[in-house]
Amino acid sequence: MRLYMMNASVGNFPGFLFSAVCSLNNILSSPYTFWFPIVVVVAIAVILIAILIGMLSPLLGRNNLVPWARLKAYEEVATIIFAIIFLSFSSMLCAINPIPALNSIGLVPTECSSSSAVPINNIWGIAVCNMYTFNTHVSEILTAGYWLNFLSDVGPKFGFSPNFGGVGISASLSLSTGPENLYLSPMYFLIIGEIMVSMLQVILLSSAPILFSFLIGIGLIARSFGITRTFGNAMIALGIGIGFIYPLLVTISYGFINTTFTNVLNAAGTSFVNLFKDFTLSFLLSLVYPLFVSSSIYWAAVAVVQIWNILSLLIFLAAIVVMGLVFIPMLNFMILDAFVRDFSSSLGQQVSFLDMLIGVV
Amino acid sequence: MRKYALLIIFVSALLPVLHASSVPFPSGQNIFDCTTLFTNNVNGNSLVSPALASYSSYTSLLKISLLVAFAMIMLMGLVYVLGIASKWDMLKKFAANEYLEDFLSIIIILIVIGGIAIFNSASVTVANTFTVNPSSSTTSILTPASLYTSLCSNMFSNMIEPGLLTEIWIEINRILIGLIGGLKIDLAPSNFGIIFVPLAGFSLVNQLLWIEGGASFFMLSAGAMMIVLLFVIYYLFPLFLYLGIALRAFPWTRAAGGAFIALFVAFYIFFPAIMYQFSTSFSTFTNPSSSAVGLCSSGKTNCVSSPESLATSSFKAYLGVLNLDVGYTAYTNIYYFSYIFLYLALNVFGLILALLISYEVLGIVGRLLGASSVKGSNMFKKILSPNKP
Repeated sequence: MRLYMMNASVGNFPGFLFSAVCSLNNILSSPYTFWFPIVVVVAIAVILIAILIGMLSPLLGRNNLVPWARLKAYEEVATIIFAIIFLSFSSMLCAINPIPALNSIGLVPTECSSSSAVPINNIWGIAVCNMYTFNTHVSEILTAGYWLNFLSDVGPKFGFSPNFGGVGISASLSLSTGPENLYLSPMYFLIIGEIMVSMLQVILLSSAPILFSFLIGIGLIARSFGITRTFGNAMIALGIGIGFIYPLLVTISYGFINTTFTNVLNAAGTSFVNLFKDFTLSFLLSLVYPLFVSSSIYWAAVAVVQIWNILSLLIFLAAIVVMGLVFIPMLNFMILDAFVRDFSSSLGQQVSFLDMLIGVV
Repeated sequence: MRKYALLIIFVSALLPVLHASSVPFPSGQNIFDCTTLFTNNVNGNSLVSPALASYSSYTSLLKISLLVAFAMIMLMGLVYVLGIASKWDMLKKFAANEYLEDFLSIIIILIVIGGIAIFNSASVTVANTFTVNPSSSTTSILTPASLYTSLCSNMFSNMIEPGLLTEIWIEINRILIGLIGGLKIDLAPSNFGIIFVPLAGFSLVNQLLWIEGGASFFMLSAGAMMIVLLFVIYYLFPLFLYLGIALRAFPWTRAAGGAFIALFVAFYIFFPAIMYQFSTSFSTFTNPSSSAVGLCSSGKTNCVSSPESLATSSFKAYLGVLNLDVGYTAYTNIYYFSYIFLYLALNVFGLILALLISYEVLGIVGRLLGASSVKGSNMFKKILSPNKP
């Protein structure tokens, strides 16, 4: 069943989310990174103008313009260096396959390994795949919760109604108390609400490479001009944050959640096999010979423990999914916001990702 | 021939018994027993990759971080020389500042390596420093795994166990009350007449049980979430430390690196250590062997000393319904109900306080490492200097 679900999720994996956006050639010829050379041209032009102003300032009797012109020239040199760094960095992001490194510490789920139906070989691909796989797990948990909901009415009802000519008493004993309905339904709706956040994350991640090159392209061009320099710095910080740090965080955190999900399910499977063995042995022994009753009682006790083990694993599984829906996005956005704030302030203009997000919402 | 047949039957009867008694009872396989959770082995299955759970996997990352920091120091030396040659003071100041920052990164790396070599982690030191162990049975904390395991066990016995047991007893009570309350007396000869439901008033007790069941379920869920949170922090947060050290090596990402390291220090080291303190105190408070303080100190009667007694006492109280002593039942119901809320409130209070303190530590360490965006709650600052903005 589990294998079927895994295969199904791999088979339905929407490769269009990321497969077309990252290759070395794509990045270099992308309409956004195409602007990087223009940045260099603009920066050189500004340097030339600054040098000209610096040369003419003594003739104009404005010696104080010399240090200003020198500062501007240095800032433009910094812009050129930034353009080269980011161009190499974006090329490197596509050229380096992070899967072996992540695999060495077990953070690549089976669904996103290199043998999956859709080839994944970059940080953006693995991030989208992790988020998508997590959403698949959430849908599995939702299905399980839905079927669990039916258990509240499956329990047998025992009744007695001694009645003599229409005069008598009646009472019924129901083993279905319906607590699942009372406690599970709010959790169910909470999970459905949180799934929207997960879905939005898939969209944000699949657009991360475009945002990366687009925001940094705008940032570098804006940085070339004096009046838009601070805005450009903010855009660069945002581009690095959303385009690189966020996919990296998702890869690590959801890689951890997804691999743990599979491992817990495997452990539950082992417990289930043990339970089946214990129960079968106990049942057969008690049938064969009365002397085996003592051992079959023992096996039955073991079976009870195994049932509790399986239940505890399933509770843990649900808690892992809730953790991925609530805690992990909060943690990721908090770290992303800290990065964007600090990186942008070190470049000159502080910008907050979370403030922007809250503003948009 | 008959003797052999009897012998075979006897041996075949004895073998399964012997086999059964030789098989260890699988009580240690439960995930909430915590030993399996933080030793990364449940039924022979690893919950996370063994490489992720091993500190030795990170030593190579530390070496890389150390290499980057040394390379940056050499680069800054070059920049400083350039500043001297070009007589540009700003460049010299920048290089000197960067040199000091990289030096600080190296000190952090050395502390981490030293911490791993000596204590396996700083969290052990913090836990042992802050924790006063009044009970001799308290597990000694020697490794991060033992700290997290002890804390997890405390959360299980303080929240999951009482929550689960109470929930089970409440459901049994609800079934019984449903049986009694639904009793009908039919007086309908010739298919026409009246029907009495004289004990339907028990629905009032049933309503209380619903609320009490909800509180128990919340306690159970909160305990499970807490254990999973510890699990995530234990295995995932060390990555933030090494990522932070690597990011600190570069001037533009230094603040972000500081934020990562602050996250590690606050939530991997301080949060479990403080939670351990609270959970141990809670266990002492409800432990009947503690004679000086607590709910069940000497001389106090009718105390609820353990989750089991809470659940069974609660159950006995509900059985008062069978004597039609509904007033007494409601009274005792509320009495034990208050115990469930006390259990819940104490644990949640400890959790909130630990989170607040860790958040404060996050701000303090973040600011020390230059991460201006990590502000913390400024709780201590406000307490120590309330008049200052």
